[in-house]
Amino acid sequence: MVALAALFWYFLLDGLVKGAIERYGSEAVGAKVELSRVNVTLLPLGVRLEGLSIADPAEPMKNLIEVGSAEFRMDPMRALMKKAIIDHMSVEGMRFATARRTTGALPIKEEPKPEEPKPEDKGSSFELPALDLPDLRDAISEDDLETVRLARRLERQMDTVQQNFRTAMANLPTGGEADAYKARMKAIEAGIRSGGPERIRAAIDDAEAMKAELGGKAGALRAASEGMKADLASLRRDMKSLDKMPSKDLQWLSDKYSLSPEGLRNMSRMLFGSTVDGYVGKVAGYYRTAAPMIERMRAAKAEDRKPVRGKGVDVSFREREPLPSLLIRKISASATIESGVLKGTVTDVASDQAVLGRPTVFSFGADNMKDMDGLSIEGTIDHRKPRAAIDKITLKATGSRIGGMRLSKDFPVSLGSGLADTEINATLKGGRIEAAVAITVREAEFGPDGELRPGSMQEALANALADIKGFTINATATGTLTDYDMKLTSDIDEILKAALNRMVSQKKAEIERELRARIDELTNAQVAGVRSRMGQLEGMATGVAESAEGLASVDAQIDKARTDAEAELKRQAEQKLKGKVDEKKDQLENQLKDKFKKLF
Amino acid sequence: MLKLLAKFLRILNSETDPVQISIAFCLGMVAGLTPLMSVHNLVVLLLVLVLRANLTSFIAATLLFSGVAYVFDPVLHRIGMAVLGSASLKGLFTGMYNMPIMRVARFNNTIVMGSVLTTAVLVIPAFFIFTALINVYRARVIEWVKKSRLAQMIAASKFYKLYETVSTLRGN
Repeated sequence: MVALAALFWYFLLDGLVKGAIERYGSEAVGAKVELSRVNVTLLPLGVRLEGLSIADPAEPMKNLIEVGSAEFRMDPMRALMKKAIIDHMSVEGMRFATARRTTGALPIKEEPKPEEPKPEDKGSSFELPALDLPDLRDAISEDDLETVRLARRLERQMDTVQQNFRTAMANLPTGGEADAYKARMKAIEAGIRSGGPERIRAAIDDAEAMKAELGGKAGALRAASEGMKADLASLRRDMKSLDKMPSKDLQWLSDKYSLSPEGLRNMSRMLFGSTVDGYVGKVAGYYRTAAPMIERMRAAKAEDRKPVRGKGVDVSFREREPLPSLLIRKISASATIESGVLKGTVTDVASDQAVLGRPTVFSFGADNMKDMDGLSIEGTIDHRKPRAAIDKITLKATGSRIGGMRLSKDFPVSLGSGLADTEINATLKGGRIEAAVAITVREAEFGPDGELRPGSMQEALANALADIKGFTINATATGTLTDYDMKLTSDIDEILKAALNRMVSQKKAEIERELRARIDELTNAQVAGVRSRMGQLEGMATGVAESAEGLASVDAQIDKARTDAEAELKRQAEQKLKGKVDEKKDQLENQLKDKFKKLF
Repeated sequence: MLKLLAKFLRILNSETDPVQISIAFCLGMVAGLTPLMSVHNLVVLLLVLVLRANLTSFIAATLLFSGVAYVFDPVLHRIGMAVLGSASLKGLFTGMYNMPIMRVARFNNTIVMGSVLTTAVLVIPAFFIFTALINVYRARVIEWVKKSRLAQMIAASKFYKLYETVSTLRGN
């Protein structure tokens, strides 16, 4: 029996363990887990794995991680109790995203998982407002201009006023009529001065007849004059608006051709958004890959599981020293990345953190790497309370050497060289991520990446960037791992905005001159015509007013003549009466004298 | 399988002590009704060797009762669940749970507990029943078979005579 056991141990156990790791590991990851070699030792109880590769379920021709060797010892007594308690594990030669020779996809597909929504591409495409205008002769016509429309409206109003004038003037007496009226007036005045009562009365009647004839005309003329005054007042107001209209047309056209710098907000978002989003997306992607494995490590409770035929269910009791079924107290690891070797530790990796009572803590660092001065990655994975799980990570990279980084696919400017200090703090809580990224770039050298058209906005931007030697970028991301909202600001915004504003202002002045010239070209004739007619109408209105006054003075004359005639009539009547009275008085006196004489 | 059955029948028909056969059968019942890869089955195997129980009978019984166990698995699970969930035994089981050797024995598995308890209860009565059955078989069934027409026809055939000759030469 002992010999059998020894033979079993020597020949079969390693293979069985290798097979078990590959099978259960592949199920857990969802892609192939392969081992080159396994060595299981009895005293002490330990395992050494060599050539471990875990394929990426999302990219089967790549490995998620490759491990050169991993070695650990287990507590044998705990192992008998189905607990893998490892005090220390050393992992060396880790590499990420290495290419595979064969596919890492599992041969039997599981039920197709609902496709996770891919995170939206948060990087904006780079769009700058164009500074080139189309040919203004073709682009702007009379009908586009409010000035022209107002001028035409004024002309129509003036036509109406002119028509009113003509109607008014038709009421005026003609030259011959005016002479006749003058002669009649003279006759009336003569009759009043030197005529007897009958002649005076006749003169009065004639005056009243003339007044009646002229009165209607005068009223009409007066009304027409008032109307013309009102119309002219309205026209004068509209003329004032006409004076301002070309400026309004200019403003409208300026806005139409997008010369406002409003569109240049948040330049840094356009320049750096896709790059920063790429980093955030990558980290989110790694977490999304690891999250299902973290969840699967948690053991289900016995009473929640249905008994498998022939297997039964393991009932758990209280342990004196509660420990999770898998606990690695400390992992010392080294990983090879592009820039160098990262070394660090991970503590308290457990299948059930709630039982252990401590979160998993990791800390990695590297100095004097190829492309950067230093790198540190620290964080905690705290799932002690599954519904309130909090995962945190802090990444600091100092002195990262940047070279030849094109900022945006739509904008041909590259950050040729520079040194970046990056700090990323991210927290994942309740499925929501909150991340803050701060990047400080120094010794920056921007340069064009291709041909830039002289005088273009791109050239202005490239020139402004060329003066920048250092800048900072601050970004925040909030939301879920597949749908997060990223806000990005940079002190480069103000610099670029100032440069572009200068360019836009220059160009704007130039364009305004062109627009002004075109507007003047289209409106000057119209406006001049309107002004000229306005002058004429003012003259006409003055004439009408004078005619109305003239008729009014004639009316007054007639009234005076009538008054004089009535006064003369009265005088003559009084005189005649006085004469009769005197005569009668004399008669009576004589009669009295005769009677007195008879008496005496 | 047929070879095993033939061997078993030969043993039944032989002069082997019925107690030996019965012990082997009882131990086979324990091994068959309980999960095979359990620690207590090492003890069973040891008993088979120490008590010199008939190996063929043991194997045959193990196979037979494995089939029976598959049918009665749900019952055994329920028995195990009831015992392991018993409040009065919780203290005992908690103590056992914290012993590595008991964890290796998987006492806290419902099938293991249910089947071990069931076989522990059945093993003594089973021993007597099996012994009695073997004696009855030898006393009556063999005679009845020998007297049957079919048996007589086979016994009279040349093939059977040849078989007896070969069997004698081989020392059975």
